[in-house]
Amino acid sequence: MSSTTVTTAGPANPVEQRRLRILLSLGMILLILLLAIYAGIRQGILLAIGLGFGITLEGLGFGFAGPWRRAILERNTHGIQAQILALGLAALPSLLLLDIAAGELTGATAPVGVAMIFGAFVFGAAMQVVLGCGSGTLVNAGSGNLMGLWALPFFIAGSFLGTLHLPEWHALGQLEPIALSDWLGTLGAILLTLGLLAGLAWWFRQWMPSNDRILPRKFLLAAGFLAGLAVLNLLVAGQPWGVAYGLGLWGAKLAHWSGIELANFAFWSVASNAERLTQSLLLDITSVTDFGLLLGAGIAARWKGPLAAQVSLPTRLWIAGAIAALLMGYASRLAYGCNVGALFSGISTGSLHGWVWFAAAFAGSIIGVRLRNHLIGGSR
Amino acid sequence: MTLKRSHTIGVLLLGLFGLLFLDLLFSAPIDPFRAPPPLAFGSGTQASGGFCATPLE
Repeated sequence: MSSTTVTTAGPANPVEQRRLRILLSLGMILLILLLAIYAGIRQGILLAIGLGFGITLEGLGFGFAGPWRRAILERNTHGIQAQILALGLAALPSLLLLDIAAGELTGATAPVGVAMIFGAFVFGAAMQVVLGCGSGTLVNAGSGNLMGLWALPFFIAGSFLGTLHLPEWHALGQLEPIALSDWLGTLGAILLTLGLLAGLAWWFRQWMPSNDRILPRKFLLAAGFLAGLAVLNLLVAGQPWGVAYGLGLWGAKLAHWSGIELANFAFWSVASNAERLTQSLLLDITSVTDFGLLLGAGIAARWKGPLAAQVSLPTRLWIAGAIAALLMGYASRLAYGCNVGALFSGISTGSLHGWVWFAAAFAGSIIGVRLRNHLIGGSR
Repeated sequence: MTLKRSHTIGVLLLGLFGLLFLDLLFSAPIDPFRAPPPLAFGSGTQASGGFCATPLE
């Protein structure tokens, strides 16, 4: 996921490394307990889930932007197949749970519309320039990647700015939200979702040479962990895993604290959003899992051994990274989410917009990988 | 320019700490007695957290 040149680190001292791992483990447990005492058991569990996401994504080298890039440039679709496996593993229990506890759990159901498709396309292109999607930017920043850290504030700013213009974008036209389970019943939604995922996995599998079609074990593990954590997130939070809402809220809170009046904007005048501006970030579900993701990625990176030094990229790529991260944040609001909230959670909870997001963002990524190669002179 | 990844993580942690410190200063204090049940599943109440797919209306 790295977007900077990373030099190799020296070998780890086994005794020091063991001591550090114990400290990291104790630190995680302490943070979870403190948050559970301060903000409630649910928030403590959500922090643990967020840490799990960060550890899985960084520790097993799993992501969204990188596998799409490898599929487009090298026809290596192992990563995408693992994403599809994770989606299938999450979709089956999620759709059943949404049926059993419809009064308690909510799916990531959003409308398909002009702005949604445009937003997903722009997000797909921009994430290839930054080399990190919604979750990927957090993982990169958390694990000490300079481009990830650089991109994060711009992503936050973009995600906030996107909320300010939502009514105008929505006015371009959109359908009513379509949940597959409302349309086909729960069983129909499960069969259609799993059938489409199986077909997609088969199609991407054909891209690979016939002697290299077995998924690496670490990707199988990552898919399993990711799906398990996503279902746990739904059970605990009552809503699917998300990323971009929390980042937009951080930006909005900074603006609010700076004296900017947000009550005039439709998004922040909605009662639930207005309430979140005044209440602690530690009570916001997405913010807590985002904090966990950032910290979990850092812990996983350090767990592996000493962190390598890194050399920065040319100035034009830093500028492009800032613009792309800003666009990515902005576009994630138009698209009703990023690769997590719209793609992963949308598809796994049976929303049509998740599928449309996938197609539009993949098309955008095809442009994005070429744009990035152009920016760095085709060297990578 | 060469920068250690541990320094990058340090900058990130400072940023997060700063954000949470401002949050502590300017946001309403948390009332631990109003904490929701540990699991939304089985709680009997509809989830109401912020999410990207939440409609404006």
